[in-house]
Amino acid sequence: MAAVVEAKNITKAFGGVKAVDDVSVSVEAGEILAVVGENGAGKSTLMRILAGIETQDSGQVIVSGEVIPKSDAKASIDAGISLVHQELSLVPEMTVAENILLGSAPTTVGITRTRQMKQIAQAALEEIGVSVDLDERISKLSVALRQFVEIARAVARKPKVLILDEPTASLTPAETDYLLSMLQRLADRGMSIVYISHRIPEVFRLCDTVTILRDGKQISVLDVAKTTPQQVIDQMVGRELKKDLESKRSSSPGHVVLKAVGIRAEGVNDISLEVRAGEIIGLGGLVGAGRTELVRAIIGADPRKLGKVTLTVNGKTKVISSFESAVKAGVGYVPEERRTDGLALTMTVAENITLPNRKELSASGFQLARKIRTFADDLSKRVGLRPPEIDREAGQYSGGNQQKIVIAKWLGRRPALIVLDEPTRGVDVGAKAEIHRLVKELADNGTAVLVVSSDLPELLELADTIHVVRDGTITGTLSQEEADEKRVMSLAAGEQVENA
Amino acid sequence: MPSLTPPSGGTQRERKRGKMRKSRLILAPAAMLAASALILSGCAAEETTETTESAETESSSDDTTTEEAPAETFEVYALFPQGNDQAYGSTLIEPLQANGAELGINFTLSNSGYDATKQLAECEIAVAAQPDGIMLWPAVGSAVRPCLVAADNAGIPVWVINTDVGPADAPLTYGYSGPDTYGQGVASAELMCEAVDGEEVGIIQVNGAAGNGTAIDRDNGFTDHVEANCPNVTILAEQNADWTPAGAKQVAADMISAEGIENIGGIYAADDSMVDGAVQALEDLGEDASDYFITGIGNTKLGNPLVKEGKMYGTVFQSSVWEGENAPEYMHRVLTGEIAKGDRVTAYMPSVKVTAENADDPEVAPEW
Amino acid sequence: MTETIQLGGAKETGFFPRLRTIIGRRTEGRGVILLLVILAVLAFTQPLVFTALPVTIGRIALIGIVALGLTAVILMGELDLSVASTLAASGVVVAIIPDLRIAIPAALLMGIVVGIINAFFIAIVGIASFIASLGMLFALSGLAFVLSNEVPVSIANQDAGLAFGQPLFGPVTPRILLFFLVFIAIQLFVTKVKAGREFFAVGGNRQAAYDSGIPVKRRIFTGFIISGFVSALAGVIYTLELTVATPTAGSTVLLASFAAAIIGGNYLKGGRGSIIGTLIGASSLGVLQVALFLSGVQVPVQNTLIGAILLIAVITDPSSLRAISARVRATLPDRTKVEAQ
Ligand SMILES: Nc1ncnc2c1ncn2[C@@H]1O[C@H](COP(=O)(O)OP(=O)(O)OP(=O)(O)O)[C@@H](O)[C@H]1O
Ligand SMILES: [Mg+2]
Repeated sequence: MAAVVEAKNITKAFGGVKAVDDVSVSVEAGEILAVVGENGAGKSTLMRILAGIETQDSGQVIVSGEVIPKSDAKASIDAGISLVHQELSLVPEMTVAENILLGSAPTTVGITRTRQMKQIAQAALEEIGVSVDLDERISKLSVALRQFVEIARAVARKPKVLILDEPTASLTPAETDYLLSMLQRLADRGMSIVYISHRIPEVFRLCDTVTILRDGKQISVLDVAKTTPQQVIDQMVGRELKKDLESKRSSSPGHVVLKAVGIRAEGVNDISLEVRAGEIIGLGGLVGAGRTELVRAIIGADPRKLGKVTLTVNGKTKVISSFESAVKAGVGYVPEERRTDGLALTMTVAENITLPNRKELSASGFQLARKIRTFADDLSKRVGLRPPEIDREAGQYSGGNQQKIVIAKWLGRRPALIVLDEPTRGVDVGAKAEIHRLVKELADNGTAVLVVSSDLPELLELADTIHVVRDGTITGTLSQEEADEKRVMSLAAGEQVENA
Repeated sequence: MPSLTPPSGGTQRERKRGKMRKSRLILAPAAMLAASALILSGCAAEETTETTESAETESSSDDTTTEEAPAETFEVYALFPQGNDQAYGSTLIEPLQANGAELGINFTLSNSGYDATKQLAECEIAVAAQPDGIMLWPAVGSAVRPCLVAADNAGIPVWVINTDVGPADAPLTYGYSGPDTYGQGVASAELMCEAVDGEEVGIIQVNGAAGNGTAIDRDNGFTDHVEANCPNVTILAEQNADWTPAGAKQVAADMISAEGIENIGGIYAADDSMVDGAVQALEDLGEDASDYFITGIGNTKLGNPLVKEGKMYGTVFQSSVWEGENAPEYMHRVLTGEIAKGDRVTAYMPSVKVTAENADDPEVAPEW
Repeated sequence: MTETIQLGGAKETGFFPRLRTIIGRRTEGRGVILLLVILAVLAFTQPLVFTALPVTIGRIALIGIVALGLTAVILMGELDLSVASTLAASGVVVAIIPDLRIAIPAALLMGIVVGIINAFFIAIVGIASFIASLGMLFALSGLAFVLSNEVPVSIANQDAGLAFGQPLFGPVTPRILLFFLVFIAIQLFVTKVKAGREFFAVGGNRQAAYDSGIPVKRRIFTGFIISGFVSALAGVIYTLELTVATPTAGSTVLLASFAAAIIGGNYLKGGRGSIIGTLIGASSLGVLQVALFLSGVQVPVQNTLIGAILLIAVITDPSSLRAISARVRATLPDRTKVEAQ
């Protein structure tokens, strides 16, 4: 069968770095192609070139035998290429319907035909089986719903090929499950799909073919049916992945570092919890259950209505009343929304990493350039930043690498308590293992760790104790021995836990 | 049909709603502020009325024999381009209100900040308020016609102060009191000619703000007189400055370096503040200002000492108090019918020259 | 039957819940409340504001017209600081050309050209709009001085000017009529016309707009042309009504028009706001100014009050709230106590 969309010998360099290096991919009608690779491998860049948003240095994009013009987003859309971006690409203050038809609203002599616009939007939402008020503004929707609106937009354009760049990063397992079966349905009807994910199991469940990129180069194209997850991972990473050494950590928890009592805030309903030195406490649950709200209220980043939080460091107990006091008392925080909350995108990696450590790195007010550089260099290597160039702007890094920078920022400080909200969202398998190792190492050195994660294997791997949160309250607490995916899920979804 | 209902989105919406509530709470102070502003505006109006009343009661109860109580009280809108934000305006307004109170005139003051369109808008509102009279200090002398027409149609008399209107607009007004701006320029020129005393001298001239009526009149007065009466004085260069010492200093320094300090024997600036700036420009070059023939206009608190120190040869007194005291007098005569429409009275403030000889006299003590 | 997933709340039904959602989606809330408070208080303290309604409306039109054009640009997250000097320069153009039939189109054309130049520097060259339009501000006020020879220029046809200030019918002067026409035109443009609606996308998420194939640059051109044209129109109105063009005209316009837009709930970073909001903002400001004038409140006091209202309008912006409350809590005396153990 002939390829519907074909990218031929695409090359794109940013400065000296070749983000995409002579890559060719093609998809047939009804085919689902996976594109995998480590953070910074060039997956997003390649897709942006296909969508006419980035200009390739050389190579062609061919749709149904016709070469489409370079860097012309409109032409790509019209030719039938539709991209769901890695970072959400919606207009917050416009309605669902307007966002779905962004740039392509139906008009008569320039005037928008609202009714027809809503009909098209409704049809697209129905096609993906999602129901939402068409007149609601995007800023009022949950992250998951926004993701589905983006997909509806892509579908509304009646694409020949639908490209999804890490669509499941912020979805719950149930939502992910739904998305995958929905994509399967679309493919069955003849739509071609290009699917990017760091979650290898998803690839094996959904895709027909997998293209592996490493450092911008195309390593191989494999038939999913004839390969194994381990083979794919090995090719992605290009080296043997260290198997997790000791899952069990030796040290026993020390004194109580964080004590939060009776926390009430928006979306949080009377929660108390403790974290001891050297202990990793996990917060499980569905996206939107109130976990982010809880940790933000604890560290004073969002206002609390009620409740008291204390932090005990070196035998001294301090009350946490504001985020500033929390940081002063020794709290590190890796937020969920890295682009808005965690990174200064126009500052360099070195500046970002050393931001919370300025005091240690300066002598009587002057910053020690040499010390800063070695410090930042060391940390960026430890989190596996690719490429580890500390003088690049943070905004130039790929999504997963930005996450690594945020983590590195707090690792250097050796905080008394570190709060991690979805620490490995969008991070590749290799780096994920590395980050897990670093978090455990921090705990072994006496840091109290509080981690929010919707990634169940991650939670089970890291946490000594898991609190499951639903509707702003803790619905269950599981020790590492008790915890398994099924129990966490049923607590999160509010079902009874059967005692097996 | 398998239908999933995870509570996603719930908290997000919750949070938003919370924020909206908060924003509404914060609106309360906004509303209160606006309310207090308006109540304040109400009070301000009442206060002014009160002062009039108290002045009235005082005079009527205490000194019924010596001073007569104003038979009638009048409401007058005073449309000014400046107010308490400037020295001249504030020293004018004080006697204006005091004298007005005595005559039974209650002034409502406005300040258009020399924006002619704003003044026209204020004039429209004033006409709509139907006061007994309007006192107009034009923001731009040539841009008063629509205001005068509106007032005329409504039968509200207009008295002009400070900057007179052009001959075409004059019939729409009852008269003018204030400085003779052209005459001031002439007086300053007379001082210059007197100082130079027949010598061949080149001078530089610093005019007031570009486009400003007073600046134009003074420039004309000065230039006309010099050309006609002392051809030995040559105006080498002239430029506009913004009435401030800093602006004048810049402009003067530019002209000095363009013409060469050795060719310059004197400076005329249309205002004492600008003389001060020009003197600074000279002193920055290591020159002694008293070696130069310098004249100004104003006899201000900045200018008078310059005369005493010998840095400025002479200046022309512009008395804000004279203007403030006389304006209500004429307005009163209009309001009581003493000056009828078509009479048009012009009352110029005397252009008193101030030199080292009389600078200490109490009659020319600087006011602003 | 295909599978479906329920992710958000369903569409509200019933009259009041729907009304609530509709109101919740508007951005003009603060402007409306402010206007209502002002009107309520004035009903007691300055009833003249209502009896002299035509004058009050005229005042609103004067403040508002430039703000309307400016809002088109603000919706895209850009600034146009050159509005007031466009007004001044085009006003001078009207006065220096003796024949009004040539002068008025020339002035309006100039506004369009100014918009094109602004947009060229912003969209094509890539200069921040703050800087580009600031440059334009200086260039145009310089031009106004040069063209007018630094003195006020009277229009040749004084009678036409004086007639222009008179009501056409009822209390409606040409100024008021033009103001409402401009309001309706821009309102329809940004709510009904696709290109105008896309201004919100350009301001709300420019990358998303670009990715969706919206011609972002063309939209920026359109926005600045609207702003330039409306400013020039205001310049024409100012000059005709005053019968004189002053190179310093509109010195209070820049701040007033930004104030009207902000009070009306327009978000300076773009993507959120409305033309109706600006109308409400201009109304609040206009009514307030008339009231304060009638009461003879000193201008510095007036300015302080307007500034305070502006500040409150900005900080009650829901998205600034969170940032501000966090900031305030951080600067308040730190309650971190050291409890000895
Ligand atoms: N605008 C840019 N300027 C400079 N470098 C860039 C820019 N965008 C991407 N890069 C670089 O190109 C390379 C590929 O980035 P890309 O975003 O395509 O990676 P990715 O495979 O999508 O990674 P991830 O899984 O983390 O999303 C990276 O090295 C990145 O730093
Ligand atoms: Mg990517």
